[in-house]
Amino acid sequence: MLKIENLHAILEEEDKPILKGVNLKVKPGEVHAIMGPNGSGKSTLSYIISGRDGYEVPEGSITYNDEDILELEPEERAAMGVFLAFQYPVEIPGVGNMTFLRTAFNAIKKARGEEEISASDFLKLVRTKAKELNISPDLLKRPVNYGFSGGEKKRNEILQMAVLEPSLCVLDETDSGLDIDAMKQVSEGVNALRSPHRAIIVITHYQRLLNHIQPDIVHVMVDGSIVQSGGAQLALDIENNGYSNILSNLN
Amino acid sequence: MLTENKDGYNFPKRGDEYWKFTKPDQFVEISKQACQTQFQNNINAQSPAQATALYNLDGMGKIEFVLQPNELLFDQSDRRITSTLELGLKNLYQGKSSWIDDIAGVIENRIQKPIPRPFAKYCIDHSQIGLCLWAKGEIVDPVILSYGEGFAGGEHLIHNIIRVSSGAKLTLVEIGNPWSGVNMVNEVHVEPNGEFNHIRIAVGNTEAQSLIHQYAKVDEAASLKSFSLFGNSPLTRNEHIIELPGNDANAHVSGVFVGSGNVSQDDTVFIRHEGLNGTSRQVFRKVLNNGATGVFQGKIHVNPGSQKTDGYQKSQALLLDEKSQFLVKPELEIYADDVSCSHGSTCGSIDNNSLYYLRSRGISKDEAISMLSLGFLKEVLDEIESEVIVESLGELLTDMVNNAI
Repeated sequence: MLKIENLHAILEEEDKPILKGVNLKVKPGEVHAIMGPNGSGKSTLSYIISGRDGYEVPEGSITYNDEDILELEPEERAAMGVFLAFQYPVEIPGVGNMTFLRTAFNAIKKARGEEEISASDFLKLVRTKAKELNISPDLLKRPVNYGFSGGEKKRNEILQMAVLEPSLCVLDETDSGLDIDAMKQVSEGVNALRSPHRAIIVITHYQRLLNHIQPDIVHVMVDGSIVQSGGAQLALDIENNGYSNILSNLN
Repeated sequence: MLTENKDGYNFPKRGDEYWKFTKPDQFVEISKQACQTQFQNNINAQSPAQATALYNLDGMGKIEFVLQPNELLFDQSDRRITSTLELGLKNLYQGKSSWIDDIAGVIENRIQKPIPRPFAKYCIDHSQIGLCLWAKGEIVDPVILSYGEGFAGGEHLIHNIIRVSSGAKLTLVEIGNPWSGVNMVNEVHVEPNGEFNHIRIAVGNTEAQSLIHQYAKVDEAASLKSFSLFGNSPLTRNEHIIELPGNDANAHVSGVFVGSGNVSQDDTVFIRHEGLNGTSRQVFRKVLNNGATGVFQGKIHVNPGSQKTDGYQKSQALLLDEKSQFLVKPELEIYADDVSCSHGSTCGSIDNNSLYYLRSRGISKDEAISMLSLGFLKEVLDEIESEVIVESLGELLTDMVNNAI
């Protein structure tokens, strides 16, 4: 489904290499966790998968469902089913959350050559999904993420995921800024989206999120490349011992 | 410096104070041309105003007028008009009705110092066209004044005179800009505890050159709220000159402009607080693309002794390309020592993080820019009193933004 080979990336503004040869294969139905110390390039990897400007890729490739996506615009990738849940969801005053969701939903439908949905049918769909995720209908009436608490913002990300039904979900530190209860709720939302047709990549610093979202494979990223991969036990080892063992092995 | 011309009007010249960003030359031509031709207009009595189709108010209660160069069309059987509104054409009324003589040229003249405004004076002295409107009680439905097709293709001087009695309430929506050029003055007197809500929608004609003034006197505990929406016309100057002589008086002026290409739109606002506890707000936002120019000049003037004045001014522009420009002159002139006044002006491009966020959800770049521009402008709509009118503006604003991108 997703195949990343020898991916290198440079932050254009600072001419600084961030990714230095990332290799990753993700199959439908799998949940991967990517862990790693601060500054190892985890978020950059998520940005490059989703198509953010400002990075140069001098080497390597990303294919999604056998198509090279590196040259595609973010919206084209979204139409193919790629979704990034942001670490810091952007506040957009003046743009209603519901309008935003419907525009996104219909844009993706249109790009896929499918029929757009009426406003009333969409309202029903969103209300149902919001209820399942325990999201207050008030959040739908407010501007996108504007004045939302940390937990509300992250739940809004999961709501978008539930509505847009992507085939690849990348969750960039979805647990950051959440209290235990909110993390549980968000995790339940993610788990509800697990399916044999959908892959999920969870980027996190801490093992505790993985207690709620059980990964199939855990990767450790250090200094721009994946240095170790293993089962769920790897995350527990990191929780107990930190990254020092892995770093010393590398040295 | 002002120069005396042969007509005795000291029309401003390029570079004069408050005419540094917008060239006055064209407005001199329009004013003189209009003066010569205003009696020769052909009447097209039945044609509706051009902008009414753009601005859909169907389904809501309203009182409608269409002003033509020498005719006012309305439903004479409408009882709301006979019970709460007195109205007529300026050229028929003036000199015959004392309430008009108390306002016409008087409100404007009170505030000629310190900045003389010869264009307004010229319009008031020479205009034969205009609506006289007196709200005598609370008028629930908005009064819609459309400028008819009779104005199309010509230059005009229009002088409207508006009175809102003590405790009365009037919402006036002015629609259309069918002329090729206009020098217009609204003189407004809001009497104690009166409430005047004003909306101007000058959209639809991409050739119009408009110089519009609104002079207002807002008495004790009275309120004026004025919002204007300007579309893509080559040259617009929108002036608000408001004085608040009464205590506890309140004035809000706000506006939105969407411009693309070789166009210039100028909002120039002067609010003078003369009483105690006055409040004023100036809120303007513009989206500029393809080399468009936006101008904002705003002053909050607080007289000596006008304590507890609360004045607020904010002007902001979103520039969608590198050629567009936003020229601003925010000013505070305060002679009282116990006031709260602030002004701010910002100018920026589309936020890349927001753009990426929307695009990552499948929304195309153009549509995302359109959504963000619209979001930026829609916040100004909060300044409008009537929710029905705010809702009715949504579609028009969306079309304007989409056309500009």
